[in-house]
Amino acid sequence: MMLGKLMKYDFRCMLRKFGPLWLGLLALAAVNGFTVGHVLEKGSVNGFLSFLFGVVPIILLFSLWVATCVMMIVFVCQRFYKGLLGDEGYLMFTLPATPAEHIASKLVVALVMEFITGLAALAAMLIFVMVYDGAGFLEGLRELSDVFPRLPQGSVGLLILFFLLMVASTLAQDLQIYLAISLGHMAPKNRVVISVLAYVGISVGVSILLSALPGVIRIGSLDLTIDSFSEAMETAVRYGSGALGIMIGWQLIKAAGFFFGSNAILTHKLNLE
Amino acid sequence: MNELVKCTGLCRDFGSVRALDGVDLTLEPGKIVGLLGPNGSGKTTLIKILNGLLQPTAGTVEICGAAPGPISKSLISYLPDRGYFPDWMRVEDMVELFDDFYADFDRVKAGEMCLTLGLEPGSRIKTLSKGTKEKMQLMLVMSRKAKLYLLDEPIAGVDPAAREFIMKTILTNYNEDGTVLISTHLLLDVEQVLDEAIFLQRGRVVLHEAVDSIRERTGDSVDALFRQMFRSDMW
Repeated sequence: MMLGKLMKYDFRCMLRKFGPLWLGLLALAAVNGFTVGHVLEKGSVNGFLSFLFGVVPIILLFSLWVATCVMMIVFVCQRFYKGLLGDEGYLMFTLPATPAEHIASKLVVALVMEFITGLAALAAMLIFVMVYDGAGFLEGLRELSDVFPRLPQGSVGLLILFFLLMVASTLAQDLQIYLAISLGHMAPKNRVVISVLAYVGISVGVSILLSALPGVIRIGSLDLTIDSFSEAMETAVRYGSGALGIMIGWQLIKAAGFFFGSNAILTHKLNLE
Repeated sequence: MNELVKCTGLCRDFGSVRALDGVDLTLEPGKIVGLLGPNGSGKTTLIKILNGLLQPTAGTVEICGAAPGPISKSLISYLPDRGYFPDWMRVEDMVELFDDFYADFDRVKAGEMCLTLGLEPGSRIKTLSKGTKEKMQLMLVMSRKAKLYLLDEPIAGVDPAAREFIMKTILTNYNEDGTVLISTHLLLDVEQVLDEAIFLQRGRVVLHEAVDSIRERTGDSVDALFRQMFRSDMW
């Protein structure tokens, strides 16, 4: 199975780039928890030392968090652009695999990377709190475990739907980037600029398409696009889980369209000059 | 006829420039064929189309009866005119990758060639020199028992001693049941090993003939004929 083999190397590449970032994020969170909780608050240092042990690690943690977010987007773009349509494409497109398998491999690895990065950010926050105030952290956990049984019926299902919506919208987002890059690749020059313009163009096109769709898939004033999760939350509260289901479906339809578009370009218009 | 490669009416335009102009070409198995022509004659474009890296504007290509795709790619061993390695990999990763994807890859031969060419399996690719990367690419391509070797300018930009070494590596390692298509404009270095010569001029095949037949017909070397035909294109 060529997809599995392609993913093996894409995962290796991803781990080499993100492994150190994730570990750095967790380690810096622990250092911050310690410096803020045990050095600054206990007043054992002041002046330059308080800056060195208190402010610098926080700046570093924040910078690393921003860097990880930027790297995430860069990774999605770069692995597709450089890995398939740059010089590495001469290797990848002479392997006995189909363009669809190449796209799927990049997509799965990007999704896993985005998921683990999200988990690492959450874990960093928990580690910070745990090191900063261990007793308070345990107390918080106890309170949280008490809250779960008291949640209204259907809340767990709603949370699962939110998670699926997050996955589906990330999937559509990544595939929109791939389609934009594939469209840019068809241009004889200025491919990066044209890819950016294509991304904007696709977003506008999708909005126009949505507004032109018949009322069949519109429920009252329900907007199927999700510009923000707070909007999605409000919609879900207003219309219940059915609305979330429709939003997930819409993201998956978009994702399928972007996937087939990219695949058609790489199959029929590949142009490694 | 046992056709390994069949191109019919192949054209490729880059904007207003026609790089290939109605190429009709048939290659049989078990030959060493020179794809010869000056710079810009369409050699690389033709090789890329055979590999499926470029799509023709018009015409068709068949490799063992199939259009370029996963099946043809499993039969072709391609040496491009540029480095294509992901720089995060090591030499041994690339050997593993070829072993994973190509059923005809001979890992033992690759190990032997690494020793001969002085390639350290644990070396990171980004630390290798340009020359070592080229050796590595040659090692990977020639460790396959492919039906068709497409070698794009394998001896361009290297000194005469290195050219001799590269040609020796190709000739001692290729699958004799397969066909080797070598694109070059340095004819003197390859003429002695060629069975057939294809002359490309401004995207057209102007000659496709057995090397012995050319010598017999013209009473001169293929290189002499090449210089005579392409005098106006050389500079």
